[in-house]
Amino acid sequence: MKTFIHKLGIILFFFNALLVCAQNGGFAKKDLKSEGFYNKIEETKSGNWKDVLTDYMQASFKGLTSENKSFQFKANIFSLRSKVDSTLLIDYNYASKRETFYRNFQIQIGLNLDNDYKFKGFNYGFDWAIINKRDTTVASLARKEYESGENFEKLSSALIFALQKYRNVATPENYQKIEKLAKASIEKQYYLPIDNLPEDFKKILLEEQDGIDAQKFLDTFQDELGKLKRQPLLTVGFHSNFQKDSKFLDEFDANLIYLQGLKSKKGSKLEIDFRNQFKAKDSITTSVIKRKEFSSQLGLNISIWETKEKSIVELKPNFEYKRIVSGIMTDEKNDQFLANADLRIRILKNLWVPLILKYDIKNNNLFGFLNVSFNFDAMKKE
Amino acid sequence: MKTITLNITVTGGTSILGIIYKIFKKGSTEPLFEKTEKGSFSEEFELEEKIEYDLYIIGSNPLSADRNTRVKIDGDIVLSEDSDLNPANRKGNGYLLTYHFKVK
Repeated sequence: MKTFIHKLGIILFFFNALLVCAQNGGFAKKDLKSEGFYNKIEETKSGNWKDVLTDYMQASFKGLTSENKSFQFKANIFSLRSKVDSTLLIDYNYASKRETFYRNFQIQIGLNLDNDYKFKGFNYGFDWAIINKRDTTVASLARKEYESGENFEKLSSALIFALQKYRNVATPENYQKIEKLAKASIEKQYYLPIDNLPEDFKKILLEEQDGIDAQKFLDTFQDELGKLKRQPLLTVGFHSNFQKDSKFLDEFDANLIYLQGLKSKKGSKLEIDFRNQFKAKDSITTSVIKRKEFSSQLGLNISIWETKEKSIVELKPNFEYKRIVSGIMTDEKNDQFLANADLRIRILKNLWVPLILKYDIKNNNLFGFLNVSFNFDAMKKE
Repeated sequence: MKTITLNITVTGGTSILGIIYKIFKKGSTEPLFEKTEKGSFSEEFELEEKIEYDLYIIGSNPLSADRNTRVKIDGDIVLSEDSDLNPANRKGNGYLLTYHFKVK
């Protein structure tokens, strides 16, 4: 027990040291012109999403309660490049095509440990987001791409013409009142509503607006922000373990993951989660067995507690079908049906504890896996 | 003719809906200069001496908490009392700035 605590202590120390090192290497606020832009993307993503594709870097311990434990460090290529060149974090660079590709390509390295936290081997792999609409949407949420942007331009242009016309005919006092009202209104909600405006100015403004519906602009704009939270992600990945006494690619998996946000009445985050995985593994003890299995999972990730658009607790009930293609073990069935539930709890701003429960429906077996994951920010808070 | 420069600097992200400006000669309703920009810019105008002008700027800030747009006009001008401050900073969702000035 003493040895176990000692080893766990060393690992936690190593983990902490890595976190501190990576956070200290973050960029100061002043270097990051697109901090708000970046943070807005972050707020729209679930913990489930970040476990699939990290925004910057992620360190995690997997299988803390199982026999096969692993420590993993994931980083997208953009994060590594931006460590060398901080100008990549300026919004127009961040949103460029090249950097978008690098943000969508993540590499993973790590250590595999046995039950006594002894080194077993290495793990490595990559994931590539073929579709990552949430990033590209934010990157192009510029005026021209959207109807709300066009409407904003038309409404603003109409208001300027109306103000200039009114300035030429109204008394300075009346003009000042309108200008003050327009400034306060735009600061709050981007446009000047026509209700409660003096009739003489209202007439000029309506002529200039020529049928542009201000409320429609606001609705469209809010709708676009809502759509942003529901954009899809499709990734393909390849991962492998390199153990002692094993050959290259003795154990690997290839996967395809699709996440799609859904619209909810309450505005909370709902995400369809569909995963397929092919796994191959050579037995070290008996060279005869070459186990191959295919699994498919379908679930719904629900943000059951969130504050200010940030998820605090997420639950993902899902069903899994597993087919053992070859290398079936004694007393094992070819086809397996599992009912799973992933519970993710955000302990700190960037620290998640995902608990994965798997229930074998046919054999009434329950398995549990406890993970810890830490997502690094691109920038250091001052 | 004198050169007047309009500098707009957006920080804290990207202007979410763009920035629109128009310059009129006082009393006219036809803009001499007008443009819509996506983000920070600096633009020079050649304006007649001893003539009064009206400049209107409507823009949207980025979505972040630390958003800001700084507007600065450089050149030999005299601002009327009812103009906004020069330079000016705006941190709201959007902003309307009006400058009524005479070129020296």
